[in-house]
This record gives sequence, C-alpha cells and structure tokens, in this order.
Amino acid sequence: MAMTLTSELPAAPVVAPDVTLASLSEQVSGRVLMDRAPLWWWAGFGFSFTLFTLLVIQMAWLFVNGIGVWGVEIPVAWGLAIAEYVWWIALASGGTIVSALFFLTRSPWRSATNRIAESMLLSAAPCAGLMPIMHLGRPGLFYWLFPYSTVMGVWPQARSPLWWDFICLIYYILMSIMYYYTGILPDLATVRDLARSRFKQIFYGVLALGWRGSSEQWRNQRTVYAIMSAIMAPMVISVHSVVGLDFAGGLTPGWHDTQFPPYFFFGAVISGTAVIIMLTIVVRWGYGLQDVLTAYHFNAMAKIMLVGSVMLAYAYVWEAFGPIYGSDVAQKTEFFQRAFGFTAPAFWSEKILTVVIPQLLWLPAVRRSRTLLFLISGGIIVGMWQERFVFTTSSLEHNYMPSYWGRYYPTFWDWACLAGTIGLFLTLFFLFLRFAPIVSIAEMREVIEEERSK
Amino acid sequence: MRRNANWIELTAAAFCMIGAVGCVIGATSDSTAFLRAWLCSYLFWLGLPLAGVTLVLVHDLSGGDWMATARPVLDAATATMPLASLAGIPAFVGLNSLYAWTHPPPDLGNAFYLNPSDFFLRYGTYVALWNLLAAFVLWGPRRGNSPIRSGLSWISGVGLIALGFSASFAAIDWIMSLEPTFWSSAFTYAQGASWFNTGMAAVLLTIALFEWPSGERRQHMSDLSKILLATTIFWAYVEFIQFLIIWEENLRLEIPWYLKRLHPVWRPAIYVSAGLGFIIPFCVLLWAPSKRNRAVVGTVCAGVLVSRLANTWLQVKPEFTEPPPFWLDVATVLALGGAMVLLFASFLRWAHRLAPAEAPIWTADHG
Repeated sequence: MAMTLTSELPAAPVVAPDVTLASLSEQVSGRVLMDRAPLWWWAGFGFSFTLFTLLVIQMAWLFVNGIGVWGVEIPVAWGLAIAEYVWWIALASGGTIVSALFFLTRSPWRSATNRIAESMLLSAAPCAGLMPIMHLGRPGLFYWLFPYSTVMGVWPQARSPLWWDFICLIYYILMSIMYYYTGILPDLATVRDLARSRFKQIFYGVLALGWRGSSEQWRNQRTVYAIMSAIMAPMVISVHSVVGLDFAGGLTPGWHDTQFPPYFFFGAVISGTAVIIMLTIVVRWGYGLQDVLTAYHFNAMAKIMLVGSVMLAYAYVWEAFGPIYGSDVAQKTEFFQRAFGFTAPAFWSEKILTVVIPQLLWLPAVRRSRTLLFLISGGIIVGMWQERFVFTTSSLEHNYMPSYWGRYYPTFWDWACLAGTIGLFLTLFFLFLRFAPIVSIAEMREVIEEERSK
Repeated sequence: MRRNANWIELTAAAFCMIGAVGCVIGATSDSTAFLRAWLCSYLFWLGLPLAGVTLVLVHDLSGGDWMATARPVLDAATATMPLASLAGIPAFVGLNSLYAWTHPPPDLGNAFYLNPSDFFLRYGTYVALWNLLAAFVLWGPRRGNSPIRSGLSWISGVGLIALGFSASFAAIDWIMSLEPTFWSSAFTYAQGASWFNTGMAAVLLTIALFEWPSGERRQHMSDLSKILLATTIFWAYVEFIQFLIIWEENLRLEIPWYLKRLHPVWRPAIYVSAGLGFIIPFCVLLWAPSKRNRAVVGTVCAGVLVSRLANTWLQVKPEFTEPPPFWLDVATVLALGGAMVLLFASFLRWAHRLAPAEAPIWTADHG
C-alpha cells in the first residue's frame, strides 16, 4: 500500500538526493568508529549515569528496608512503581510498533528511524522489567514466577493476568533482542570492514558473526527479519493487551473496563512515537544526520502520533461515558473522584497534554517545526505518565467501601525510582548511540536505490 | 458488470418483492416480531454504506493505489446511505416493542440518556451526519486513485472522527441498550469493526464476482484483502477481550449478557460468526497467494457476509424472550437487502455510463 504521507510536502524526500551508498556507510559508521565521542555525548552520558546511580542507591535502600520506603500502603498497594511499569512498557512497545508494524506495511519512512526505535525499545524494556521485581517485596524470589518443577509443589496461578504478563514480558524482551540483532547484523559487518584499529575490527567482526554479504546470507537475513516482524507486530499488541488485563481483570472500580487492552495499546502508540521523535531530533542534531533523517520522517511520525492521540481521545470518551451511563455506583463514584477530586489537576492536564495539544499536529506547519514537535512529544510523555499514575492510584484510593478509602503520597524514594529509571534508559540509549549504527545502513541503501530509480 | 447489471437488478427486485410480501405477512400477524426482525436487517445492511464512507475518508488521509480498483464500488456502497440510514424508521416507530427502557423501572440510572425523545434526536443526527459525509464522499473533488485535495483533507479527518463517534453511539443506542443495565466499552469497538467488515466484504465480493482486475492491478486486491484481514483480526480481538474480561469478572450486571448468548439455541450463530468471520479469513488470507485469487477472495468475503448476519442476530435476538421466527428474519433481510442491492447495482451501472466507451469502469473519473 503506497502511502502518501507527504503529499503536502513535495519537497521533502525520504533521503537527500546527494546521499550515496558510500557516503551513507561512512557517515553512519563514522559515528561508531570515531576515537573520541563528542562533548555533547559525554555530557548526556554523564548526566544519565548520575541518575542511574540514584537508581542503584534507591534499589539498595529498598532491598534493605522493604517497599515501605515507598508511599504504598493499604488500600493503595500499587503506587508509582506499577504505574511506571505500564509507562515504560508502553514506551518500549512504541519502538516495536514503529519498527515491526511499519515494516509489514512497507512504509519507507521507517527505514531511517527503525534502529532508533529498536534502541529505544531495548533501553526502555529493562526499566519496565525492573519495576515489578522491585515491587515484589522479596525480589530474590522472583524466579518463583517461572513454572518450573519444584519439590515445594508451588506453581504460579495460570489464571492470573499478572502471570501472563510475566511470561509475555520475558518473551517480548528476548524476541526484541533477537529482532534487533537480526536487523543490525549487516551493519555490524559494514562497521567491521570500515574499522581501522585491530581491536575494533575484532570486536565488530565477532559481533558480525562472519557476515560476508553473500546473496544467500542476504536472502536468509531478510526472510528471518520479515518473519520476526510478523511475529513481533502481534506480539506487541498482545503484550500491551495483557498489561491492560492486569487492571481490567481486577474488580477495583475504575480498573474494570473492557476497553483497557486496546486503550493501553493506543497509549503505547502515542507515547512510544513521542519518545522516538524526541530521540530522532537529538540524534539528527548530534550526529549531523540531516540528509538521512529528513522532514519526511518527522511528518510521518507526527501523523502517527496524531492518529494515536485521536484513538486515545476515543478511549477517553468511553472512560467518562461508561461510568455515567453504567449502573455500577462504585464505578461512577470513583470516576467523579478521579476527575474532580484530589487527582483532578493531573487528570485534566493529562487530557490536555495527550489529546488537546497534539491536535496542533493537524497543521503541516507544526509537523514541519522540530521545536514544536519536540515540545508536543515531551508533553505527551509527561501526560501519559500522569495518566498511568492517576488510574493506578485513584482507583485504589476509592474502592467499594468509603470507610476503606485512603490517599497515596509518593515519597522521596518513589521519585528517586522514577529519576533512576530515566537514568538507566538514557544511559543504555547513549551506549547504543556510541557503539552501534543508529541508522540502518542496509535498509537505507535500499531506500537510496529506490529513490534513484524513480 | 454491464452485461450482468440487468439480471442483478432484476434478481434484487425479485428478492425485494418476495421479502416485502413476507414482511407484510409478518407485520400483520405479529407486529412486534416484525419490528425485531427488521431491526436486525437494518443493523446488518447499514454496514455497507458505513464501510464505503469510512474507507474513502481513510484513503483521503493515507492514500493508496488500491483505490483505483475500489473507488467505483465504494462509491456505489456510499450511494446506498440514504436508504440504509432511513431504513431504521420502520423499526423505531415501534420503540416500545423493542427497548425495555421505554417503560423503565424507577431506579434505572441512565434514563437521562435512554429516553424516546433523546433517542430520536440522536437518530436524526446520525442520519443527517452520515448522509452529509456520504455526499462529501460522492461529490468531493477526487480522481481515480488520488485522495482528495490536501486543502480539503481536514474535512475527511474531522468527518472520520465524527463518523467513528456517531457509529459508536448508534451501537449503544440500537444494540447495547436492548439490555439497559449492561455496559461494555469494548462493545463500541466490536460493533464498529463488524459494520466495517460487512461493507468491506460486500465491496470485495462485488469486485470478485464481476470485475476482477488483471495485471498489476491484482496487487490492489491483495491490498484490499489485507485491509479486510486486519479488520477481521481486530474484530475478533475486541470480541475476545470483551468476553474474557466479563467472563473473568463474572459480575451481576455483565455476565447475563453472555449467558443469554451462550444458550445452546444460539451456539450455531456463535460458530458461524467466529468461524466465517475470523477463523477462515485469518487462515486463508494470511497466505499471500490467496489474496490474489478471485475464487478464494470471493468465497471468503461471502463467508464474512454470512458471519456478520449471524453476528447481528446474535447481538439482538437473545435479548427478546420471544425472538422473531427465522422465516421473518430472512424475509426482512431479503426485503431491505433487495432494495439495497438494487440501488447499489443501479449506481454502478450509472457510473458505467460516465466511463469513456470501451474503457473499463475502473478507469472512469468520479467525484
């Protein structure tokens, strides 16, 4: 299906006309092979690593003292950590959507951005995975979630969405690693061939697994990559649906909503794309990849984000209409508390950031402005965090019995956990940026050939 | 198509007449049963124009070469909107016989929404909006496989949003409110997908029966089949998710909705709806060569249409303690369906007349 995403931008090519196969390889590989990283990279990495050390300290404090150091307390047993688990897995899922789903639709804009998306996904997934483990209370026993045969006769509850979630997350992370590696294999060989130092030749040579670029190798690689894309696309939908079931499967008012699985997926589309846009803007500026990451890509991603925003608005309407129309008094009470009670500022600002402001993306001028795109994307990410926070805590705060109601206040260690995982995410991304080609050279070569043949 | 047009129209007229006779007999012998059967027929056939409008508006925003093949049939589907949307009137004149909320218990909390005056106001709004959008689809400046001028594409975007919300509220008004205490937000997604699949299957079946494209244009059928495959998967996904959550929670206000439908009487409808509406399209259309095979695409689409009819009956009929007899269901489907197909085929023939001599209809300019 040919897309006409840029019919209003006839002057925006998928790749600049003066980019050649050789210049592309040198431009992208050169960033990996340079002897000294640029100052901005060190500044970014240093800041990220500092935040990451805060996570390590927070985890040490948590494991010594228990999860009481967080603000969670009955009735609000799920606090920021679970909200942020959903937030991080949504960001990661956005990476898979851009990379796998749009591979299947043969969207040309995806070739230059898929590596950024996959790197983002691999940086965000560990942040998501850490959250439930930290939240277990006895994290050393997390392996009990595996359905292994033990003399204790203790088996995970296979009817629980929480266990489905564990299995989904494990498979998702493993598949994502393999998917990334399958895609990057030819590029690692390119870096190996362009490397001058012996150490780098060996390092990237080992990683390239003896890739020589024979027609058979290419055929096999493309076949495996296509099959993995076909698996990853439905997998990311199922992973996020199961995250939605974690909540919808509970009887808690506000969580019990049959639209949660697709609703969570819409959140993944918009927040994941927003992160990719922000990272792409930084990468483009930092590595001078203006010829490869053009207005075409930003326009296309902005439209995806706009579609995600509209889908989210659709879900928000039912989020409000359902409790008002429905017959469950507890659902109605919880919704009014959420929208007009203690969490009202977060509730309404979240709607503004994720639905109202993104409607500016209808205007081509906004989609062309990277500054505005960066700001709107940042607002969406903040708004999606608020959304996860509000529905996780507000529902537990306003359970069936008013006598059982309580309030959740995050502590310093809750915020340290958030800042620390942001640090972990950025640290990993900066490492990807420094040591792996951040644009798919192999796929961009195909794009260049296609553009030339037009 | 030109050769076949006359006999299609004659056959459609004949079916319409036979169905109309059945409707008259049904309405005079048991007016309540007729109203209930007519509601099912109305809900089924409405999918044809709704899908036509939806796909053209989506194409305005996304583009796609497949429109070169689909445009005339989508236009014909859209042209049935006035008849399809107004066909609800015969059912809704007997609102009291259809909906329990017309004589509500005092504690019904959603009477602010479910009351006759607001119901008719919303129905009028849907009819007006959908026909306006249909007019925009038929008369907007589009040519061949090109989307609408980019300066007007915002109308398509806004129209698509309005269509999505209005169809969802219509699904609540006409189907979900048959059980006024039941609420499921995923229901709106599922019914929207079901309507789209009805229309999409009808459009593809028409192309498969009468004007299967040749050469490079066979790729268009592959693309259109992919769209149908994606939306059948989406329909199955939301239906299953809704069932899983309601079954898992087993709540007093929700589970009766499924218990009624899981009664052995309705099992065949479940099997047909899931089997022909998802399992067979999924297994067959996932295989790339099948999407280019005329017989395969035509057969799968015919199956999807049957499944959507079964699904409509499954949504509506279990809510009534005395569902209409099967012959009356068939009669109402034939009466309205015959009129719809007659209009659909006449529009296609009219579009043929606009085409240059000897040029296939698919190359004609529309809009």
